[in-house]
Amino acid sequence: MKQLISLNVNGETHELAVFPWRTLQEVIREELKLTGTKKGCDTGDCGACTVLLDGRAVLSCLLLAVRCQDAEIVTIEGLAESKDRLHPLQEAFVNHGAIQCGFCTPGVILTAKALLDSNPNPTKEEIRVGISGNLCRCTGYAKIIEAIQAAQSA
Amino acid sequence: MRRMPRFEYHAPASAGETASLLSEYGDAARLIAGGTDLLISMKQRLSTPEHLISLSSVTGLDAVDYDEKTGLRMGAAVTLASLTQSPPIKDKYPALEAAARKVGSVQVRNIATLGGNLCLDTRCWYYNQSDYWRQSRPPCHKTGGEVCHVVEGSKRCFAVYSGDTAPILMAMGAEVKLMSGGGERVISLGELFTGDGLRPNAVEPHEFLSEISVPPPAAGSGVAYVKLRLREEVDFPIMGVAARVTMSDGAFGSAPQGFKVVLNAVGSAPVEVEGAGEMLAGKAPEQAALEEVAQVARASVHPQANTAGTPEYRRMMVPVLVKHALTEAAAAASS
Repeated sequence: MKQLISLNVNGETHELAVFPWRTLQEVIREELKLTGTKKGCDTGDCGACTVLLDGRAVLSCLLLAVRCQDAEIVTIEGLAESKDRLHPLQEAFVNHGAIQCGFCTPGVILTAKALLDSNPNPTKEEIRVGISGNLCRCTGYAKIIEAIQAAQSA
Repeated sequence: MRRMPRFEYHAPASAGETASLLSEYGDAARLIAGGTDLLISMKQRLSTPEHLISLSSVTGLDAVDYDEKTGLRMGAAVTLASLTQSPPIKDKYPALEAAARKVGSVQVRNIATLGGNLCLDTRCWYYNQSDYWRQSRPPCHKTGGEVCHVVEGSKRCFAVYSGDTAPILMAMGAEVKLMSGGGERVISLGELFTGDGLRPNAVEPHEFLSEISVPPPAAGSGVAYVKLRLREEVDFPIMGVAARVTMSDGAFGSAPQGFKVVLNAVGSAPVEVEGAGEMLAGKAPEQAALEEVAQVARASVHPQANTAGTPEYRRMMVPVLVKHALTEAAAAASS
């Protein structure tokens, strides 16, 4: 049976009727049509589905949507301040060529956001460890780390 | 695309409500805490419970308390990330903090719980696969069949226990509380593990793990957990060792009970190395003493070809990691 839930995504509250077996990721992509959150492995290995739940980076493919009521969820669509102004992390990723195919990018940027929020000046090693739950199949890690370093000093 | 199987969802607010839901649904129900392991098993159709009982709304199940006399108490639903950030744990049990940090990725630790990590199901290359992948072989013991794809002709399952917080908590003498409608029972953490690959823990279908307690750190004692894996982050262990030692005037303490060595991911439960205390007590903390324990540890385990790393490599690494863990624990005790 569907359950009525209210989900706060990117500052907007959505009243939804969802089956309890729907993952947060399916609801974000298929109900809210926010397709910036990617589905990679679907088993918690790749980090492509990363979103922020109350400021912490989590895997939306391994969370039931019914469990995420009362939490503040941020997806990549909610990161920029406005339509014509990117978030400093997004800006840095563009400027440093830290995006190749782009599939891992939303997850990496949100993981980096949570990292910089809790540790504004991470060392290179802390960045490497911090984003180790995000796989980039283009293997563009060097540029990704450069971009995060640039964003922290921006 | 892997869709979840259907189930009915329950989110009890109290331990009592949880217990009554468990006694109502029994084997048809599974508990879900973080769900970072269970949801994968469900997507792979390894587990298809009719009812999921969530522990995330149960009051008080994520508390962490420390008392100098009674020690540390942790609710089973505390996340691994909160463990690594908890002041009493960072201060009094730094090795537990370090072990919790070695589980999964940042994202996993933000959701995964301590109780879930302890009750982690055993794993095997031939088991933790999609239903489609598994169709190409006859079902194994763990999926309801009668064969083992790892040890030909075996009547039992060799799936590996891989929880990283269990060995260090066993080394520290932790106990766990199991609650049910009929009351509660407290057992040592070692007793939680059955050694049976099919049913790795002793939690009955009507029970749930509610609390983990650890005695206060004894004077002069030090603990450490060393984890071997293919990548330095994210991966499950291909082998792990937890050690506790007690130091006195630069030598190992004289009481054998001040020592414990626990091997991880080499069998269906964490394995305590028998006689480690007797071999170490009163000795100088040098290679000779460590070597004896390391060789006994190596002889006591038989890793199988069911996880990353060949059995030969994992077995060769047992003495290496035992010596690392003992050296680290001795350094922690002296500092």
